[in-house]
Amino acid sequence: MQGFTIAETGLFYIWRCLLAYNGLCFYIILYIILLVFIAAKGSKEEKRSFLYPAVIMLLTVYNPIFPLIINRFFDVNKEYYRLFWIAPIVLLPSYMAAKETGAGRRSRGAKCIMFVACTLIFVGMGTFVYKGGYPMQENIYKVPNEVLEVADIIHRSASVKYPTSICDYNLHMELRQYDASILLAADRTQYLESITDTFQDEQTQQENYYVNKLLAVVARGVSIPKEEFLESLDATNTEFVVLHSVSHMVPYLKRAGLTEVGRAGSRTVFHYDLKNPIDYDLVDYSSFE
Amino acid sequence: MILLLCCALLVLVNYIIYFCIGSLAICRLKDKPFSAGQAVIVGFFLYYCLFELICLPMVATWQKLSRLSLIWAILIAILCLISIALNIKIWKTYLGHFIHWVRANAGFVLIVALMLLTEILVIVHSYQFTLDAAYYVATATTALETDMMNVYDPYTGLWQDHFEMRYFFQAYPLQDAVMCRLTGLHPLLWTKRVMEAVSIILSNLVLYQIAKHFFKERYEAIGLFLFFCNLMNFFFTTIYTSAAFFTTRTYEGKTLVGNVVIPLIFWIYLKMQETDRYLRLWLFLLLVAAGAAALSNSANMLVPAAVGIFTVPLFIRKKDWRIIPGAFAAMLPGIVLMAVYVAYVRGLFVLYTYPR
Repeated sequence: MQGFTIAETGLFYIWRCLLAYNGLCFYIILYIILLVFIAAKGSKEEKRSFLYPAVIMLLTVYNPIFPLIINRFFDVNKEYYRLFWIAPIVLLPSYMAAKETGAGRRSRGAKCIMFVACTLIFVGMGTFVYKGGYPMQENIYKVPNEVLEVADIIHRSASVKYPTSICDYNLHMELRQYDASILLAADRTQYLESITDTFQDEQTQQENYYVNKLLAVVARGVSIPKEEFLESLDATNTEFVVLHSVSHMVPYLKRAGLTEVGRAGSRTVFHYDLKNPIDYDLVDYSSFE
Repeated sequence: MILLLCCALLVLVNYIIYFCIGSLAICRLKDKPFSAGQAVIVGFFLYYCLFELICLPMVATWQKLSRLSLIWAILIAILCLISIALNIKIWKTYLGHFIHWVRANAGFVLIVALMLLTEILVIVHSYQFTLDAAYYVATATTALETDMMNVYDPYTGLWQDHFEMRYFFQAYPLQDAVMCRLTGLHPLLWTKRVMEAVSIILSNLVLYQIAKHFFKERYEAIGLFLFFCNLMNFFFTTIYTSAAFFTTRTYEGKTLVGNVVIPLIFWIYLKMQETDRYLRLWLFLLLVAAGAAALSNSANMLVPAAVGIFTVPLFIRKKDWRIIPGAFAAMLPGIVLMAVYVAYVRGLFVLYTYPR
């Protein structure tokens, strides 16, 4: 889970996980209520289908000791919540609602009322995925138009077949999905560690020395000494820097000697004349075939 | 517009392939009437098991993506042709029954089709930004760009001296790359349109099987069940839930694990409650477990856990020792792959991307 670990939270890990997992959705409460109902009034088949596996889950996956034990063998900090997927939290309420609404003995009017009531309960206990507005795609590739435009600007201005760039966070994560002939100076972990200020051991710091310098400027907006920044661009063969045009680091890039080669929507593409540009080429595997 | 029509057509092609492959496995079962839905589900997992078996040795020996694509295209074509030759009579008979069934349940079919179409349009039409796309989609684009598989880092494009074992067994993005190579489609179109639609339909197909188990021929209740499940999927939306993966990260293998594999294990468990003849169900569960390993690494943890959680009450109730080896066999693919990954993390072995 993001923000806390099993080691930090101990026996409370499950509780924190459940809070984060469910957020402002209260379906787990509905699930528990329905399990209690099945325990009291449910048929044999309902008990076998839903109740008994839930008891086993309570003893294992939802048991506060369980993650402590598993974590001794595997690092499950980031992925433990996925075990919650096993509980049929969506299936059980849907089954009960369909059973009650579709019951043959009810009149048409009663079925309609039941249907509306169940729908309102489900809607009221959850959070709509598009509550902040429907995120409409901008083109058939389902990435912002700016990704396409930036890729085009980079290729038009590049001196090599596989130019290297470093971009603001969102663009950095989307650029290679569209165009894998553009290389990126930082990988995802390096980027995330930089923006979340994650501790790096000495060896990692050494390995990431130049990339960290670039990320300090591009991702964290820190004005490091110009020489260090340019040295890092050369060391990582980074020819392009892409930032939001309104970024406060734009004047810094200009002062450092980078030239603007194009704008794509809200972003500006900067070019740096590498001292010794390396024409990156693919490794030839034909001799191994 | 033409591209979008191509995407729609490719969704259909995917399903025809799954159907043909699945039919090879289930058409000959004498004591059970043929079911197109079950053929598709079985076919999907057989398809990914086969792909994993052929893809991984080729990745480990630095073969080109174009070569894998050619082999895969030939193999699938042969399997489909064999299936057509062997099963055409059964399909014809089934088609007659199916048309009759559609006429008899026209209202149900129409409502479910409309609901599914709306769901596909809403999800596939939305812009989805997730960090993992930088891996899933970029693996396919990188493989296409370099004609190599997992040799270049999808995040940066740089050459790697060894394979990253965390993703090594997860052949799902490479299957995307193979299909892009064969169809000429951009990976973004394939993953975020074609495979998204495939995942949504497949998930609903599994939900339909569960509903059929509970409600038999009561199609009104089945339709309601599908409606409520899909409604909740749009409202159970913290970033962690399988429902959120379904609506916002539909193109990822993990989505299939959460919304197809886990409900399918639940369905198999429901079926096991009804019978004492387990062999076929255990074989199916084993197939699901093996196929799931190709979809996402998360399956290696989730599938053994789910199998354990559902089989313990089954064993306690039935007190049948035959359940134990079946459950163990179904857990095995996940456990073995997890052990391999742990061995890699602990530095016990490395798979290099060049001869040493």
